[in-house]
Amino acid sequence: MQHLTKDQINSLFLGSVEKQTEWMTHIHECETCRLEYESELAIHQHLSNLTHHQPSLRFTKNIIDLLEKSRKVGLAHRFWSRIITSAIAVATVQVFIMLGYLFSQLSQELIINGNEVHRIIGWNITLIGTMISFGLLYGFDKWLRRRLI
Amino acid sequence: MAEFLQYISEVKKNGSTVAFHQLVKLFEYQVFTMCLRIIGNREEAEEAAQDVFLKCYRNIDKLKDPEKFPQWLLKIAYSKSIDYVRRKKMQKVNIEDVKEIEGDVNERSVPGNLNNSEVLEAALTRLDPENKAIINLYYQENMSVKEIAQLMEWTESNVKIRLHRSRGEIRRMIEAKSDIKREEEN
Repeated sequence: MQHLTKDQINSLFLGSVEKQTEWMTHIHECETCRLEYESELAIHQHLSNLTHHQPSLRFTKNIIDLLEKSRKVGLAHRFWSRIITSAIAVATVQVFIMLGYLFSQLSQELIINGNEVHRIIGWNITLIGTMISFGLLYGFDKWLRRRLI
Repeated sequence: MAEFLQYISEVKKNGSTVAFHQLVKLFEYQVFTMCLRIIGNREEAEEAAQDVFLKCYRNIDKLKDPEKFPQWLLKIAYSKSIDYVRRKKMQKVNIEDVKEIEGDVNERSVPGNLNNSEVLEAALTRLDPENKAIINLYYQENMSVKEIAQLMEWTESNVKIRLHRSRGEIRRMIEAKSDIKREEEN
């Protein structure tokens, strides 16, 4: 029998060889193959004996602290999301009301009163201002939390 | 029933941090070792391992089969560490530079041409990140080739080839190191 190749010897360690008995008999009889096998076996055994590494003593505590912090940030985020979503919903409803009003007036003669224009512009400025304020407050809150946590 | 299954169900049910604390305690060694082997630096590995557990907590609802939690967790650890290495574009570490890892490992008597486990650890650090992961999963976590292939989303033959190549590489590095030592002694 010819010498076993490195691949053949290696496959013996993976335990998926049909000719395992035949090859092992050859390894016992052939010194070259035996030395190669023993060398491979030494690596295999030492890799099997590798130990786990230990993280620092504060490792677990750090994770739990991080979880608590991210939970607080999550709660704040949810609070602001709710407020901003509500503001957007109110703005959308107002836009629809305005559009509805405009369409209902299409068949009639359009008389624009100066006071009404001012009122509509005033409402829109208030609405946009409120939304910008919410955005700024949200940003400020996020910044503050990052600084504090 | 495995101990960790109880904790998983508690975390899933009410997000219990107490149960999660126990889960971290059970798996911190495995996750940290995986990260350290791939990243090669203690502090960065610890940071990556923390990210792994945070991701685990946030996504635990997505885990369909709690029995496979260890594999699922190691998969996260593998992807996080590989991402970390790619992001940092870390360079391969020299055998002499691996003091941090060497400091962790106990001395063992080694037969044949291996002098000690430190040399083995140092040789491991010079492998490709993917190959380090395979060696770690196969030898340290006792996973089969099939399980590793599933975890890494590779074919079984690819895993076998990489395992074989890595062992060969380790062997060559150890032999080279032994030769250097022998020359120094002479």
